[in-house]
Amino acid sequence: MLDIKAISVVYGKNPLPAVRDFSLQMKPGEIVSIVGESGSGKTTLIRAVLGSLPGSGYISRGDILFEGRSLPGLGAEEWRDLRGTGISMIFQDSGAMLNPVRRIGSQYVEYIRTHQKMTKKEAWARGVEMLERMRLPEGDHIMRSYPFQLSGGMRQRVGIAMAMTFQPKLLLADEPTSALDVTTQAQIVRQMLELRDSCNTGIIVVTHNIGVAAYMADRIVVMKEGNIVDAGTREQILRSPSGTYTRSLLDSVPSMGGERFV
Amino acid sequence: MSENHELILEAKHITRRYPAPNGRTLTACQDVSLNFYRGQTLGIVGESGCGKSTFMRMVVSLEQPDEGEFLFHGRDITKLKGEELRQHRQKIQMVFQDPAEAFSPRMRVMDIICEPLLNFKRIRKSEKEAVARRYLEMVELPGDFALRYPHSMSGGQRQRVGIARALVLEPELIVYDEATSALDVSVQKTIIELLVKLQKEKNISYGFICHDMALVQSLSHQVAVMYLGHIMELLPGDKVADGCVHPYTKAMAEAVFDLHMDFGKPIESIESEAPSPLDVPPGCPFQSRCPKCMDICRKEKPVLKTIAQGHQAACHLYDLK
Repeated sequence: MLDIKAISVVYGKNPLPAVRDFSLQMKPGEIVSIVGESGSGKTTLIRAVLGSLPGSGYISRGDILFEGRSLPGLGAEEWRDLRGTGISMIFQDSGAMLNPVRRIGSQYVEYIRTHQKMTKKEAWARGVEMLERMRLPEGDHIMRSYPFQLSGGMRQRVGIAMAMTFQPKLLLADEPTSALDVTTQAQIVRQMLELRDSCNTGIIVVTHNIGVAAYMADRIVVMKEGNIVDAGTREQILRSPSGTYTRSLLDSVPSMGGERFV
Repeated sequence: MSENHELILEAKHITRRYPAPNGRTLTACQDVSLNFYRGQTLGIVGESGCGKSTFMRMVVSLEQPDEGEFLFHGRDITKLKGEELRQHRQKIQMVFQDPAEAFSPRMRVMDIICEPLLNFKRIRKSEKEAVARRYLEMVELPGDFALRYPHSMSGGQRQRVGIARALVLEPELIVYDEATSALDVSVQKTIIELLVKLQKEKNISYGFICHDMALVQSLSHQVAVMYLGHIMELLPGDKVADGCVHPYTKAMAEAVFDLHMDFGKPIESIESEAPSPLDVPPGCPFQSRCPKCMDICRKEKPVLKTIAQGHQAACHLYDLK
């Protein structure tokens, strides 16, 4: 489904690429976690896949194929068709992507009608249905709320509901649970796994929370300073990491009942 | 455990309320009693809005409680005013979450570290650089950093400067408010190791706020679990993983993503989110999300009861035992 072929991403005139020779193949319904510390290039990578690199960033080498189509060469119109329906994305704080002075409903209806011919009424009903599938009770009420009236966990569910409206083949999740409390985080992770099972959506999760990454992933990619330092199935990475960096990263994760310092 | 250690600060029945719109009140801390012992760490965990930061801000006298008292070596510090309060502040210091915002961007590291000492006239200006170098080395940074500005340092390095600044006054208690939450895990680990080493050398007490339960239990002697302003459970750090009894503590512990967990097993977590602290239900604050909620929980608020040495829980399930 997705084939990233040795891409490098460069920002402006900076000679050092933020991502170097990154390759990844994904099958439908597969979940790949990309872990790494700040500045390792993990966010740059998924933004490159979505064709929305910030500022002066561009793909200097390599190619990204999504269902056989090369993404870097697409025009604005083609991207608009693809985003939301083929590939969609959820962010760390979905509240920041919503317009604070418009109600959720009006933004959701606009989003649906941009991608599909539908009456406002139908779009509204579709939105309510999606929200309720994400276990937001009283979807109608949510549609009539402003983003600031919802909690962080609810906003994140709204973001996921919007991203999943057209059942995209690929969902890109950039730190989807990092701003949430642990109990809410567990709920959101569970719902994302359910989406994979019910819609066969492939997911790329970018996160610094290695516990979440490991729990969700079929495969894990470890990045450092723009390079892949380790990649493999979850069991390979966790049980027998090949790189010393991976090992030290895994050792640093605090564990319940694990190493104690006092 | 803690009985053998000298009691430094005793929080007794602390309550803090804030006025909210429409004549309502938000109770951020409700009847919280906790003790800080010399050379020991008290960790507080809880979800956002549970009152853990409010409590610690009162510990460092940034705010005053509406009810209750803080006894510092037996002396009530909530009544201190003016110069007395100013002198007292040297004893309890704080390290903040975001070291980038905790420093003035226009001050050099040595000015940042030595400002508290100069405020209390404990050193002369000419001694500044030498003192800063000594403390930088204590937090395992090169002494030359004394001449740098905060923006030319990484997050982990800045947090070390924050620790150095808290150390210079040689306080008896340091409060860390999510001090490692903004850092990468490998950096977090080195900072924690540093904190533990300094604690052993100097015999300081720590108050450590964090939402990462796995981290808190790894470095705390006692852990307090807070929910909507109430202490739900207080237990020794080494018992958190498999000795916790309160349904809320258990729910939090089950929601931790651990590398050693069984990935085939679905992650357990309570549904729904914490209610707003503006409308805490009467009775047990956790009743709306508790899987074991009983009739009595809706009527009567459970009080903290000792269930083992150094282990208290506020839950009706443990009333009878």
